[in-house]
Amino acid sequence: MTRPLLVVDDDTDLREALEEVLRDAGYTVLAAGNGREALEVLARARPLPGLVLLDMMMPVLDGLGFSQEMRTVPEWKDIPVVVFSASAGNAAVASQVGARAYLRKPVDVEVLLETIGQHVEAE
Amino acid sequence: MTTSLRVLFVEDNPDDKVLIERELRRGGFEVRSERVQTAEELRRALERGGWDIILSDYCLPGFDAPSALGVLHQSGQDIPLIVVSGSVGEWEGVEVMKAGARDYFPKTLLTRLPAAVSRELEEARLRHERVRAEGDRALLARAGEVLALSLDFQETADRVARLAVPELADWCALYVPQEGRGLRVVALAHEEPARVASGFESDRLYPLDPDAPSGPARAWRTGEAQLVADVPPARLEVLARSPDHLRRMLELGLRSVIHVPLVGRTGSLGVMTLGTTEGRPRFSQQDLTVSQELARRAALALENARLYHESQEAIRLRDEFLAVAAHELRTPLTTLGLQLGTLVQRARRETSSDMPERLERGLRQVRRLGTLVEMLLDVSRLATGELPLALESVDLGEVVDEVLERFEAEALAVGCAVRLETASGVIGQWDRIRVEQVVSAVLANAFKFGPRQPVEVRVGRGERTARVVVEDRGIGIPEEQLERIFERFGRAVSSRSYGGLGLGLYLARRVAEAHGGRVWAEQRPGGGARFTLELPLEPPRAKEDEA
Repeated sequence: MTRPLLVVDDDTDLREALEEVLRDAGYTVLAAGNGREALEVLARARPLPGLVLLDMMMPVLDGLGFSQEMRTVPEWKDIPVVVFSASAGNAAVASQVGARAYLRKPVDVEVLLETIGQHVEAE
Repeated sequence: MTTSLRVLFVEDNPDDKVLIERELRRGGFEVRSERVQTAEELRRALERGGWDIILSDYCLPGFDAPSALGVLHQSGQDIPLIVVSGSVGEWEGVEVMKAGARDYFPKTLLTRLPAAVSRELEEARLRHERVRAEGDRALLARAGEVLALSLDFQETADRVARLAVPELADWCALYVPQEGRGLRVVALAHEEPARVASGFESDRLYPLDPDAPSGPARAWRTGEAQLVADVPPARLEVLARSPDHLRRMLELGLRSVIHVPLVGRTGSLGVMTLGTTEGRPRFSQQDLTVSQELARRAALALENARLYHESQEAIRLRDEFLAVAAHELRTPLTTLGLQLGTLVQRARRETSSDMPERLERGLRQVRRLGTLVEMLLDVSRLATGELPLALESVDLGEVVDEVLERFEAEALAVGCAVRLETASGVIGQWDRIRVEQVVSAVLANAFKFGPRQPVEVRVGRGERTARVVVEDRGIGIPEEQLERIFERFGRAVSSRSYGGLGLGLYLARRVAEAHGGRVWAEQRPGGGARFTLELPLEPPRAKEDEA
């Protein structure tokens, strides 16, 4: 069974666009509107996501907070994270988060898919 | 008309004192005097102060005029001393004059004494004025220097207060209106720190009455300076709001005060209040003039500090706004781009119509919007000089490959064949996104001005630099425009025939410079333009360069 992708972004339109793009590319996609929701999705997800595409600036629980909580759970701590942020200085943030890669919004479909393809753990 | 004269006699003979006083009264002086006979008595009398002249016998039992001059000299006071003696001869006269006496008189020539005293008083007055003027000049000059040292409002206020004490006053307070709390003391100086603390406490407990008929509040309301040469204790009793308040005011020991408004170019900033206590003469008109001069300088310095703070605050707000604006603008662009991108892919798979091309065209415009948004954000940021770099290990050949890939469709659209000569392992510590930005700007320029002609791109390395050269065969750039095109909104051709904001190359140059590199243009032999980007192979040592 292939592992899904988890898309975490508070912008509904963008989140839905991402879901469509990634489903078009053949992925199963889980989605969450903030870090807190994402932790809840993780708790229910079977199998676990093979990658988290993570926005940084979000209400309730932001990207940094989410990644820190995620790392405290042994089964979750090695899930690859790709930071997908509209803010400058995301390279520094990405390293704080322990991300495999960072993408700055806006991004081309091709670059997005290529980056995800490189880092996703398909199992 | 009589002139009041305070005479200090150094004299052992009371009869001589009476004799001399009579002579002075005859000369038009209203004499008040004291007589001392020893060094210790003289010292104490000088400490009490207020003497206009010292008349000294030459020789007393156990004391003499040269010793009296020594005591006077030690006191640091400039009071004319005239030797009046029955025994003073030519030789002694010369000796005491050398020691600093202003004149000497045998007791037989006392009729000429009043004229000599008048002359000495006048000379002393002139000397005092000169010393005073020099002191004032020095104080104001120092004010100019000291006040230029800081752009922090509080620090400047503290410096102003400390400048005046003790040169000009025993107390100096700066009152500045505080949001919703009226005029409050923001800086206070006195030679004893404990009294400064208690002064601040008084201001906290008993803030100024904004309608007070005199004092700092009045100077603030009217914009007029006020000199209160003599502060009568009775007035304090009227002003006091409680016995504790009165006690605190009396503790300040104010004898005379000056209130001067601090007026800058943009208006009134506050009030400077100076005060003297016992042991210092009361404030004079001249003190008021100097205080006003000091206040004028202080106001300018304080105003600069305030304007600087306001501009810093404005920059902070702008940056905050830009960060939010960037985030808000990028998000819909991302959604739009992804939607179109995925539609392009789907249309390519599923339709045979012109749908993919039309969607592609839409997508190109989205990218263009994205670039414009980034440029505008960058330019706003660069207006104040900063361009933060996120340095990492970057392969220049890879960057150029990626950028060319992105420009593939555009190159095709304008009919430019790209020839690439690249080298591997041209690596440096650069900001990847920024370097992409420079390469993109230069390539976009080549496609824009050299359509239907080949564009050559070369990546290479020198001894210490990495290089990208882009050559087009377009309309070229006139010699005198080669630098102008890198200016903000600079362009070599009219904006009507070629669009664009004129920001791409400006940003390219700023980015190159931020890396410690450069970018420039020249004419390509045979027509067209050649752009070169040079970046240091070593990590840029920006900090050292700045120093």
